[in-house]
Amino acid sequence: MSRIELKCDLLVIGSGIAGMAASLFAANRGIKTIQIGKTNTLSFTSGLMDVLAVHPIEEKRLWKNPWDAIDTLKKDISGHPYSKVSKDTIEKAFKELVAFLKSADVPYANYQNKNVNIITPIGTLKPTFFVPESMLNGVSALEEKKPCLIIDFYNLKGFSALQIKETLKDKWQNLRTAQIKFLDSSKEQFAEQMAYDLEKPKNLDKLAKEISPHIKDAEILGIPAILGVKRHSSVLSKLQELLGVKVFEIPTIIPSVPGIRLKKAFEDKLQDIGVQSFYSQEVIQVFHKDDFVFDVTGAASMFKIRTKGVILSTGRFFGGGLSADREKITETIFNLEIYGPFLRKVWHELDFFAPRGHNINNCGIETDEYFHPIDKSGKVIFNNLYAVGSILAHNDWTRMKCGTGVSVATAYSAVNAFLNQKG
Amino acid sequence: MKFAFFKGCRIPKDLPEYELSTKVVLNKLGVELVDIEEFNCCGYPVRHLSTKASILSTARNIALARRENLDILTPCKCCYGNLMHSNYMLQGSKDLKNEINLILSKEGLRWEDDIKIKHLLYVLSNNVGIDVIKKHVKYPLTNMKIAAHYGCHALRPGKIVKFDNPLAPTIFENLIQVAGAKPVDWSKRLDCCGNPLWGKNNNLSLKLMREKIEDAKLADAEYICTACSYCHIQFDMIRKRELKGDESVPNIPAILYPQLLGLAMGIDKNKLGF
Amino acid sequence: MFFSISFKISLAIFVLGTLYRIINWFRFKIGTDALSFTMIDRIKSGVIGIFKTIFSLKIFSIIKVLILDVVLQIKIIRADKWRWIMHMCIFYGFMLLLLMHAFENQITKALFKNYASTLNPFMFLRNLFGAIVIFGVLIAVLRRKKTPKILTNAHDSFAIFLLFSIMLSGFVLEGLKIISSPIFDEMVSSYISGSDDITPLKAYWAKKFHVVFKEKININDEKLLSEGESSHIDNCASCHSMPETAFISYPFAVSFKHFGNTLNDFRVDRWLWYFHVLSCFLGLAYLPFSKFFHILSTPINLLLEPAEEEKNKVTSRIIGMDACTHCGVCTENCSVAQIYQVTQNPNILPSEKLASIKLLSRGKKVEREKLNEIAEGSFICTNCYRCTKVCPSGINLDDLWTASKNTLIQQGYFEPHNWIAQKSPSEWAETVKKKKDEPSDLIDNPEIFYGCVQCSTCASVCPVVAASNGNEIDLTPQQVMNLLRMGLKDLAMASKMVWNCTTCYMCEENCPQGIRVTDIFYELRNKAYIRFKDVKENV
Repeated sequence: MSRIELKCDLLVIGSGIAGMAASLFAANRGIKTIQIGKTNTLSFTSGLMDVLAVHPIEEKRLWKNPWDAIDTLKKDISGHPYSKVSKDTIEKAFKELVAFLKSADVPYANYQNKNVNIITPIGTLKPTFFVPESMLNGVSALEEKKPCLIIDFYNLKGFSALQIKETLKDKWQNLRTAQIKFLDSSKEQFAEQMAYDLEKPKNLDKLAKEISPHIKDAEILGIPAILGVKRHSSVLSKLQELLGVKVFEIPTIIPSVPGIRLKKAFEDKLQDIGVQSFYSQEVIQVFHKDDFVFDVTGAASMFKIRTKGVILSTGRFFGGGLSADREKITETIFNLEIYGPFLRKVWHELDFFAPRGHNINNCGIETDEYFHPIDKSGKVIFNNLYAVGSILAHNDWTRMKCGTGVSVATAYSAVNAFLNQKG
Repeated sequence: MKFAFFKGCRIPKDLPEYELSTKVVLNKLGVELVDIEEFNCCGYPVRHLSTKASILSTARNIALARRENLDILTPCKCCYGNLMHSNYMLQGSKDLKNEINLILSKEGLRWEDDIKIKHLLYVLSNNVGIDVIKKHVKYPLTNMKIAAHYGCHALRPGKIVKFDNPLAPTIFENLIQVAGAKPVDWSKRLDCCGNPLWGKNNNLSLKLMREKIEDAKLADAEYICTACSYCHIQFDMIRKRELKGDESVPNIPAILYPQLLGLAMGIDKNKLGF
Repeated sequence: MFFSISFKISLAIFVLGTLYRIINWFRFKIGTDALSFTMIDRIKSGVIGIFKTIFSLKIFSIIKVLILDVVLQIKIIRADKWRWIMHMCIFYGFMLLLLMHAFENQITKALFKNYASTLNPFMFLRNLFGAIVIFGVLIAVLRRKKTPKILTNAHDSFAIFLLFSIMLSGFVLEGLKIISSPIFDEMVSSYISGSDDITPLKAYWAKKFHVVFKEKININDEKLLSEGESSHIDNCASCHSMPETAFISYPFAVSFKHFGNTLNDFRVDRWLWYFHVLSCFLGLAYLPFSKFFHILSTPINLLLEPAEEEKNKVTSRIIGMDACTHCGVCTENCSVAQIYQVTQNPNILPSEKLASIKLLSRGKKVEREKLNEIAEGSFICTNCYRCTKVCPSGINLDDLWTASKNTLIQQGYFEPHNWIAQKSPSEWAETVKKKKDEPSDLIDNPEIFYGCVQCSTCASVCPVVAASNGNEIDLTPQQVMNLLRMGLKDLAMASKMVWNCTTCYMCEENCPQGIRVTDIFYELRNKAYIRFKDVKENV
């Protein structure tokens, strides 16, 4: 069977935030880009965008200003991806990303040079940097301790208004809660489905009627993040209008609607700006001469992609960029060298909640300053291959709260490096 | 361009207009369709009882197309999905291939992996090409707002059916645009029409259809455009019969894509089966 | 005496059999709509319906159909030339033989003053018509051998055998008669006065007509022969053409000559005559119970069908089943016939299903196992209409399938989706607890689903989970995966989630771990069907 062969300048492998950002930056620079990736990593994100909030993790030191944190980090961990990017790069990268998201009707907002505290579904506070616009109301309400009602839904798992109130009781006395029955309360509720249901005006009306009596003196309403997917902005403003108070969303457990909004925005709009994307596909085999040639997915019916450069943004274990068997950790596409603990017995600490995290959380690919993967001797392996995002070594992003920042900034740098190299 | 025309079980009895309009439109665009009378069911309906029976059904169809040395074109997305899926299974297993070929050999037939299976929309978009279609559009359907109903089995699983990007497809909207109409963006465009449950759980089947129609209404669609026998039967025949007089369901009729394109190309309504 | 008694007996069986079949047209029923009518109602309505058709404008279109579809068999010629030749050979060959040979005294003699069975062109034509029938029969046998899809049952074989033995015995009989000296003697005694010397005639007939005489006769004596010839011209020639023109019987005669005396001594021709006649009468008596009955039921069905009255529709279904010749064209064109090769259930094939439905229509108790098989075949049918379109007898098969499905459902034989829904997953699991199980590709292979992290993405994107209420769905997809992980696949098999899945592949496409959720559901259904169908009880 003859295979279809596609040609491009830059192939982005991966469809998480790093892959999406890399595709966006490349397309914005007029690079002929193909993106290929598995599915749905973005609905596994909270939709919040961290830059850096915790360092050093052993001390669990929280930073108000992420830029100051980065300065310190650069001195402490020389291999951290942030050590290869400037503040200016990170800011420019986010600016471009947020502008794109705004055009896709997924507006994001932040405080100048300051991390914000977002309420989690269990009432703890999570420091982050960029948040969906609808969440910023909640941040200021908490700061101002406004009278507030937080609701949860009967049969929606992983979200308890009472628990939020209990956890926050010292910080926010003016908090009341209520449990609401959603349209058909006879079954388990899923945030994504509730979000689609609320896009229908009749359903939103019904919900507003259910909530109204509980509002009383509250000036603001906190609600699980279920206010529409593609029509989120109009659902939010309509609900505020119906209730007569400000409304803010609180993230839910995954799969989370703010993550899904990101996913849909990228999936739909990247194509509009010229990215040729193949989701739900995987690379089977790769050949390298001057160009890379990839065989993509599935027995005899696969197709080929010929490309001048590759951005590897396949993530770590859950994303499939790294794979761990009983013996070792491998990179799944190019079999690149992995920085990290070799012996399985030192992958993890004995204490699951060890404050300094586990060795395995820092493993990944090491690169040069242009994000070319390098081998043990420090030599660049392919000069047209770049690795970005969470596959990079030396960043325990879940504990440091730096995931999105690292992904977006390294993607930005790598795309520019590719452009410069191409000339 | 020449294809074996695989119409499946539903078209001859329930949707003659689909065959009619597909043939007249493709004919004008220089695609020749050959009927192979011996084609059997694609195997989709029996797959839930016996995967092997389903694969045999597909293999026999492909073997018949091989005998004529023709690739297959089908206008039905369930047929397309199942043909692709079974073909994929056969590609992946020598044992299965031998087992199936042993049965086929009784009729002097043989399955091999050398026949391409394509859906009508794919052929229009990739083989004929949007530019060529554009030249044939004489009466653009300006201002007509159309909700493209993608149909599940052509789209997913994307790895196997290779129809379009399974999470963010564009092929149908592009084809609607070339007819001069305006595709609307609707949340449930990739969801199921409900027909697979018809006759099994009618209540649920109708609920799924309702959800879609209501969502299309939210997006201001005037028509739901289909390119699948089962989806069209659901949105047209079953809807007209089962939801007759139910005013809570928005009145958005369904139209078959080749009929829509045919209108834009200025083909006589009778020839399109209206 | 023998002839008339056996004829009368077989005619009586034929008449009674025909009446029985006709009464059954109004007695038997299939389809739930048939239950509300009495037999008398249906007879009345049927008779009125036929008369209405005959005395309405519709009759012209029916005549047209009768000519095209019945007389000329246009439907068949379009589908398959050889089958058309077969049908034409058998039907018209047999009819001509019937008129010109079987009823020679009544018909042929009346038409042709000088008719004699041994005179040309009649002798030649009889051979020709016989040959035509045999040619048709040979095509039929070959067709059934060559088309693997068509199944042959006892009725088919017997009908073919009967036809073939009537024809063959006829030819052999004629061959034996040619060489028979006893018949020669009988003829001489009837037509030639006793005083004449018949030795020349014997010599002439021995030479030219191959009669085998016991005594030695010199057939090379020219003088004797010429005397014999003139005697032949005087006495025999007006009724006897040369035997060579009986181009099939003649070679038989020639080959029999070696044992001619033995054959003549034992009067084998007489025995064979009994056989030939009895075969014909057997055919006559068997006709109402055989596939040949379609000669009567097909035209009547055509007359009744346009009468759109409900009662007649019901009757027409039964007549339609009687019009079936088990020719197998429906099966050849069936969209799902190939599935028979996998399941080996003949009731998937329309020609076989029809025979089973006939049983069902009689209202007698049919075995549970058989009913399960009919139901399987019925629900695999995709109602593609192709059988109905090609049926040479014009049976409305599509309507028959719908009616029989309704009857099956009414008797508790549902679509798998519905009978599985009658018990809870745990009840099903309990029922098959001790039943052996063959491992299958996905659900018995932990590698397929061990990656599930229970993230519920599948449930979130599932349109069925979204649209259903708490009663319609029991588990969500990730919960089904969890049952598999716990080794409780029997419990997963009958899950409402599995059986209400629209197979839209949303879950599979969106699963971050690439788990083949929908394919697993398909396999669970396959497996449930096999595991549960033997133990299901029907309500």
